[in-house]
Amino acid sequence: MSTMVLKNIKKNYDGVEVLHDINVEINDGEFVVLIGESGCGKSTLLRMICGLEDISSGELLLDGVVSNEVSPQKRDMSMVFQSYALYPHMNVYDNIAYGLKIQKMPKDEMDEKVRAAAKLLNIDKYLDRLPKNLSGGQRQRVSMGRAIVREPNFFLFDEPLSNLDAKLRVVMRNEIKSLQKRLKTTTVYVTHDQIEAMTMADKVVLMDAGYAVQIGTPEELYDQPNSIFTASFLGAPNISLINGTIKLEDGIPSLYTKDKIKFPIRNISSLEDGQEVILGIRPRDFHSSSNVNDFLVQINVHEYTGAENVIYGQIGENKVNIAFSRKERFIKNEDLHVTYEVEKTHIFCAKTQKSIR
Amino acid sequence: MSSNKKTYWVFLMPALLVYVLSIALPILYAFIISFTNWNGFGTPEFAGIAHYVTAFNDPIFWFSVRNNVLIILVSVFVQIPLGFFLAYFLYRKLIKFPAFFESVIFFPTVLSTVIVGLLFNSIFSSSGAVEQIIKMIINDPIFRMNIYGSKDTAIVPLLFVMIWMYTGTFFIIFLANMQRLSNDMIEAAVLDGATEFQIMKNIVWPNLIPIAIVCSIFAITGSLKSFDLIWVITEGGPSYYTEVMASVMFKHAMVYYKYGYGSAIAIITIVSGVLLIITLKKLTNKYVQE
Repeated sequence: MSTMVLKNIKKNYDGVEVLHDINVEINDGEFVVLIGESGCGKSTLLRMICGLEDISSGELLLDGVVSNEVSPQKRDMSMVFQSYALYPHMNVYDNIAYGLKIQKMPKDEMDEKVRAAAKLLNIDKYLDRLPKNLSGGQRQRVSMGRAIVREPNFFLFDEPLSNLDAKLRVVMRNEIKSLQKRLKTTTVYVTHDQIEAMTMADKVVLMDAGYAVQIGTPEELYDQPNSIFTASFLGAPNISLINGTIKLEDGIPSLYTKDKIKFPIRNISSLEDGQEVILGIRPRDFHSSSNVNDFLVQINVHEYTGAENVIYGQIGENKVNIAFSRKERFIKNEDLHVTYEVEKTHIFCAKTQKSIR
Repeated sequence: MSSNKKTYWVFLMPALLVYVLSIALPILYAFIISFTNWNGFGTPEFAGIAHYVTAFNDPIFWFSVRNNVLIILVSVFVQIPLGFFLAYFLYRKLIKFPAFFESVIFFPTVLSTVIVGLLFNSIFSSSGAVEQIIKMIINDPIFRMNIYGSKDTAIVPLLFVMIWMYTGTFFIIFLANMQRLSNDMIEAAVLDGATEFQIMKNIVWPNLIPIAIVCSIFAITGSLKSFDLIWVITEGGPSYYTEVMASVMFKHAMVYYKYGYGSAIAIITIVSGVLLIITLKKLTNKYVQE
């Protein structure tokens, strides 16, 4: 068993609080992704988990035991760094073996483990090379080999794929994911890349300015964002946000924009007449329509990505981002009319920016 | 000559000129003079290898070599390791107020040798601080410190001053190079379970071996040249107990006007320096990666 609980974790630098009351529960074998923009505190939190930074207040429970004061050497975690952090003077074999050497593991047992890890990661051909003679992807694998060979209780990843090119990133992403599924090691993974978060995580912790703004499965965060921040952080292209006022007609709410366009919305009983709200529509919930009475879109930018037509445009004065499959009707230089899936819309309070359900 | 080559020469000339005039020519000049009898005036008389023979039969010269060897040993095996350890302590912030200690350790390096010499003269002299402290400790009011009086130990205070004075240089070189090491790498070692000692021995030191070798070359050449400090503190005395090759050379050339003999000692110094550095490079070749 290796579980981790963060209880009211805070971090102060010279009296300035940079992390506020972080509460996360991580179950055994879970893959948790900390995501947020740079400077949101996600790397700091990871460094506090592994003990490279002090915890200013709150508790870190590892397997139920308060471990704030346990030295990083004793936390039984291994970390993969963005810079790989290989030992430049040691060859691949020694880089992977170093942690085991420190444990004074018997030579033949160590040898077996190092070779097994290298084989698993496809670097068994390079064991006697120095890191400087390896490519970025190979270095990343060595760095992972070093992490897995010790069979730690926890894996920590600090933006491990940021230095790789786009193609290799996808390959390594899948490898990390499948490796973790096979080893079933509890993992905390830091990234700013939403695709990594959505594809890899069992649980996503979305952070903003030192707060954990929403915690949940990727599906929960995408489909039930609790705030405009979550809704617009996840998803590419961005969710369309339309400001307006609620009008109840026969008890059914709809949204009227400043330029008097009526947008139908989900029937939420708590909405009141005259309430200022923001309507959120995911780009892929729009569909092209042949009915000229549907919303007319003024196209500002059109991108054809192969699978999709992506349109950045506006309905009246309201900016919208639209993406629909190339199988749907779209003819260049002709008026585009769209509808959207009303049941999938999101409503946010204009004042608090929170979701209204 | 292509115009490219011309450009090279134009840019090379000033440095080359300075080098030839201030280093190569004087060495060549000394080399020639070392085979002559010359007192600075008149025509030098050819003397063959007489001066070299004299030097190798001169017990004072051999004693100065012995002192030089001690200085080299102290700089390579005391100053450099000490500089490394101190730098490591500060680099890893194992003590409080690292900036303060950084200044304190580096401070002697920026002092003029003459000032250091005068300072330690009064510390080690009879009735100086060291003698007073020993007097108090052993509670013997008529104790006389006789460290300069013995042929064997006369050099010891000077070695001590050199450690105090030059460790800071190696310290700062090591510290600067440690700060260039990847912080992630050190943290990776911490998470791998390495203790502070293991980080130093397995991670930091192997990455600084090339630096240590450069420091050793500095130390060897510096030690062979050591003159100023000794001249200020003891002038090679009492008797010849603290003579070094440079002070012997200086006395013969500048005090007794025996330029031939002085030059011979200078040439021996240069040759032994070159030989030592070649040996060091040979021994350490495998540690220096291309």
